[in-house]
Amino acid sequence: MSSKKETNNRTILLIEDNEDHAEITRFYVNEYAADIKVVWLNDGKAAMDHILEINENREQSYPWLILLDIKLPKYNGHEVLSRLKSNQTLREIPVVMFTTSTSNQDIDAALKGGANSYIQKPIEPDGYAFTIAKIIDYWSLNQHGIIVDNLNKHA
Amino acid sequence: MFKKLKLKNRIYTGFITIGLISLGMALVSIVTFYYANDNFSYFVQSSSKSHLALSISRDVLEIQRQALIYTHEGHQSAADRMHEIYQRISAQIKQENQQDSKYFQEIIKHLDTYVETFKQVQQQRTRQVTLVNTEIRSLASEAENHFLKHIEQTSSSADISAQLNNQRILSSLLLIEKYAMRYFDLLDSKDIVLAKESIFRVQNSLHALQKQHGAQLTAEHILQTIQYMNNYEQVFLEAVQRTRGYLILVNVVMSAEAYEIIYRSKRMGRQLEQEMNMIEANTLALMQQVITIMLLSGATFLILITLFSILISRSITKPIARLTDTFIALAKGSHQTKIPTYEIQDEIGALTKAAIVFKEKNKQTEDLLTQSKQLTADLARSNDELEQFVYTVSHDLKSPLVTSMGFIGIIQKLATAGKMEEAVGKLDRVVNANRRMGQLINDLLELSRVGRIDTDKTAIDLNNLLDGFRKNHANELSSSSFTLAFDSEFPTLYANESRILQVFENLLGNALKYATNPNGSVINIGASEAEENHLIYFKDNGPGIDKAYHKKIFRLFYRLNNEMEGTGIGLAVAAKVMKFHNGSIWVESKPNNGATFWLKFPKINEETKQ
Repeated sequence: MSSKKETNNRTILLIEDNEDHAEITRFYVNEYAADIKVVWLNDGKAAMDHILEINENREQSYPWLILLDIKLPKYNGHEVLSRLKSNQTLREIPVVMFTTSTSNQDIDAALKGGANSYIQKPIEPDGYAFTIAKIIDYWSLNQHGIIVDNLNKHA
Repeated sequence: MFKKLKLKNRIYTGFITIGLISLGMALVSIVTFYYANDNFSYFVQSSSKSHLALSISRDVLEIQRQALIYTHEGHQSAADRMHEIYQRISAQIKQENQQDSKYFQEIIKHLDTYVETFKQVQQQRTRQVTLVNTEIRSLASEAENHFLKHIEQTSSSADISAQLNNQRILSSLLLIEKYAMRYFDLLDSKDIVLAKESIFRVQNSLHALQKQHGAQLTAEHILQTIQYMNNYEQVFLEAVQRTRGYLILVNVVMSAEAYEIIYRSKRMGRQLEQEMNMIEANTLALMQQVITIMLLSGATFLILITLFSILISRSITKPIARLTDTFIALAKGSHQTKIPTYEIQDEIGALTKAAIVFKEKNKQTEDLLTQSKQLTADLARSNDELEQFVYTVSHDLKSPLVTSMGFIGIIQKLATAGKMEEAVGKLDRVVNANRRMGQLINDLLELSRVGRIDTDKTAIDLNNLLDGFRKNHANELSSSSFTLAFDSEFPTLYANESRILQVFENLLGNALKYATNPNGSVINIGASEAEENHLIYFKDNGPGIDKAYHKKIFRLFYRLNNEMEGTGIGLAVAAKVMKFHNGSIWVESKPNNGATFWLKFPKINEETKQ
């Protein structure tokens, strides 16, 4: 796969309050792109703290991609999105809303809030693998990967 | 005074009053007119009387003139004329029907006397004329004849002196006649004296002659002459007597009567004039009075009518104006408009009632509008809640489904890769997810039962209920080193016991679940009373809740910490139970400072509990 050779230090920040969902996502990411590291945080505030810490200290890499659930404790997905997209640096990181919600309200709010994609969690046994693969493929082809790399190099 | 009348009757009363006032004025005019008319006819009567009196006094003068003519001239025509006038006056007085008048009676009486006297004068006059024209003349001529015969007999024998004497006697005789006639012509008393002197002289002369002649033949003529002279004297005196008599009648009696008549008619005329003046003055005064009365009463009536109209129109227009304002206000939809009080059962009263009905309708409409707004808001909130509920439920039910499907996919991949042990190990995750879904479905069912099942309310003594609650949880509490303290006595609530217990269980469960205090966890339950509500609180010394979540925690499936057990439905159920009891639930808390959950129950009267 082309993704494997393009980058060797990719991280997906998974913001997900459901432990099972987090495990499943991690499984499929690992299965499809073993080089991608998954960092999981289970509430919005912890996730924001984490990412702001990266932005502040540059001790860790910026995530290559953020998978953001909507229903989260403390800061929900929309709040996290708003905080990310209002930050000049962090707004460059692609955010994929990854949620069970199918409500138009959530979709509208997410897209208006600057989400780069909105993907519903699959409810078919083989749907998960397919969906994760498509997300990784898409963002591997996208310039955002380079931009995020650049962010990291400047660090 | 007419405020108790209906409007229609008020207007009628007004017009009738004006009509009556006009009628009153007309009556006053008519009475005045009749009074003036009486005066006028009386005036006319007096005037005619006065006219009559004047005419009488004029006629009386004429009578007197004719009487004098008659007296002096002896013309019968004058007497006839006088009688004619007398007849006319009598007829006039009778015709005028004035016998009742005192003056006319007196005039008639005097006139009658006058005429009676005149008749005597006429008799005397006739007698006198006879005496003068016939007897005196014949006696005079007899005496003259006899004396002439004497002269004739003695002419031869008589001497000159005797003859002279005879001539003297003869001329005396003629003189007597002359004086007598002059008297009757001119009625001068000197002529009587002269006549009498002459007669006396003749008699004396004749007597002297008689003595001279003695029993001579010629003496017989002298005797005859004396005889005739004596008769003459007698007749002359009688005639004089009669002349004097009727002159007295004419000059004294008749003049007096005529004077009386003229005096009385003049007096009557004066009196009538006075009366007429009085009547005139009376009438003028009356007219002035009437004019004054009419003007005054007219002005008074005008003022009365004006006042009356003002009173009536004010009594009508004022309440109508007030009502109009009221209706304008009411038409704007206000139901707080003050409706003027009006207690009379007339048209305005009916309008007032209509205004009250209007006001009530406004109130009802406003109430309906408020209710409708409330309902719309409720509906909107219900819709929002329902949407939120569906959203939450779909999310939370989909979540275990995603888990199940995700793990089933993993298991398939592991199995395909031959990692059977690992695959079987993942089966528990699928089971747990499905179990969780079952739990969620049960919780949702429970939530949906609040307000539908277990709805009967009874009076609950919270003291007993909480004692039982504490006993039931004794083991649980002691094993988790938890202290449950009651701060006060509790009220008796009117509520559904099992639902209230459900709320207590949830609150206690949360306190136990989140208890973190290293010094031992304490939960205090107490009650306080507000004016309209009973307040119950559950106070713990746990981690506390940030203000940002004070409302969110009561939402369905909202969880502060996903690592804890539970579906996030407990507080949503508690809120729904409190809502069902027309109460509410809220939390007061600061992070690291414990949390106090408040339950508010409205106080309910004993009557409404039934």
